Amino acid sequence: MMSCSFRNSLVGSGRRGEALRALLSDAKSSFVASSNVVVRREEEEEEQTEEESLGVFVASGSEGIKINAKIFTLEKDLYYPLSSAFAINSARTKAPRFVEAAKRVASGFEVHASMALNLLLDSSSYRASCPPLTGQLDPSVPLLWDASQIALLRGTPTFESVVTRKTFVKNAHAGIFGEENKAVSYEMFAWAISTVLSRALSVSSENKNIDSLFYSFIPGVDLLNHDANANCEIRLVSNKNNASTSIEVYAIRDIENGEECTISYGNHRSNDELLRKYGFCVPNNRNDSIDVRLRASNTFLKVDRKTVDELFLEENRSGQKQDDFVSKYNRNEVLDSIAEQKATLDEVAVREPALLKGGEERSVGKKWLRAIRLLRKGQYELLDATERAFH
Amino acid sequence: MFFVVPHFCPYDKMSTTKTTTKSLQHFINRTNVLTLYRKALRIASQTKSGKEHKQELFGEIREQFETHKHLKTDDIGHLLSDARLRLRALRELVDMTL
Repeated sequence: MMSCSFRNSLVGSGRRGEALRALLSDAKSSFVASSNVVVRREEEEEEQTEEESLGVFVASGSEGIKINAKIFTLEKDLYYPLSSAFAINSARTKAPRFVEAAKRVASGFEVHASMALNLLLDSSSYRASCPPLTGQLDPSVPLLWDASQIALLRGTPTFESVVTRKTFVKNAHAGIFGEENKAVSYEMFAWAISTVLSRALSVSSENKNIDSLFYSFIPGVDLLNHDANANCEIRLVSNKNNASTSIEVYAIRDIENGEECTISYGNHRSNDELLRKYGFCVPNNRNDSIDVRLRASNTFLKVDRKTVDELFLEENRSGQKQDDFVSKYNRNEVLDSIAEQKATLDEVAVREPALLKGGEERSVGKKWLRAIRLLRKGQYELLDATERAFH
Repeated sequence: MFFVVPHFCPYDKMSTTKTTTKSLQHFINRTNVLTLYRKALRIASQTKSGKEHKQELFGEIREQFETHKHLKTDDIGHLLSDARLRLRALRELVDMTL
């Protein structure tokens, strides 16, 4: 049962919120939300109209949420029709050729493709609660970006990965549907795949007798945003006889009034991974790293934040460990490569206004542009620290 | 004096063994096939899509290589380039599941 405060907060949160309210109201007792949580837009996003970024917050004025308190419960009948297991079984029955074609693209891709097809053709109520394909001028996920947006990633490792992924999805679409398929266009397919990648969750259980849930849309729970220091956790629990399962979200520490409820999308995700999969970056990400290409030896020098903190910081600079690290590489070669990479990043930063098709106006307050800038900043800082260490 | 050759002596076997000359291309392709096979298994082992799917992937990779085992190593250039494309797709798919 949905609490009144949670239901009412969905009413005021735009088209996506309304769609989710309708979906969860239909589910009746399969969805239970704590009376202390509400849905609202993130503060910095309020001015934007086309990018509806929602989050789950503890209602101000309530007593907050105590550790181990249950925030959401979803029964299997609500999330199973949106899971990969259901999608693949349904596709095998209804469209076996489609599954075979997807499998030919890459073994295992049939899971993603079936979920995408299920989202496009069957799950209309859940689809309405996702960021839309049409009317979305600046999608946040790089798979849907245009060439001018992708060009802003030059100088970062994300650039090549995004181009590769776009090519993969394009080839997959052509391989499965044929290039001129109008029923499922490339844009629709790419949108569905990016929605699967960014919104579907995998949840494992501590109970060895029940199977982990691999990839499922979990309505309501997918409003929870990411934080490396998350205050909530998703658990897959079974009933007494392990006959059925449900998903529960718990607070793993006390959450204060007005604080946002967050989960971790993965503790070891770098900004490169976060941007490619979910379309955002976090400042000062501890998992960031750079690959400095050493052309002469055809190898890479990999430097991560941990190395920088342990070896390259000012107070550690005279340390033996740093000398040992630096002596393994050809100093001039490393410095040349770093200078080259920094020059590319500088060039892109200077040309940024010209690269943006819509000019300055398009860039104001955009989530995707903030993410690119954060990614570039992180890369630049690591290159800078490495350069100082090798000087 | 007789010179007795014991029946287990390898000399008589050696005399009848045919020596076949392998081309340089054979050794290059052989190395490429083994490298691709190892790479494919290494990439497949990184997938997070569950134990069952991982085993299925391993099985499929082995099967693909076994199927073409009988072919002459000299003329498998087209298969190698096809395998490289599939490896790229596999890498992308595994990256998606991470």
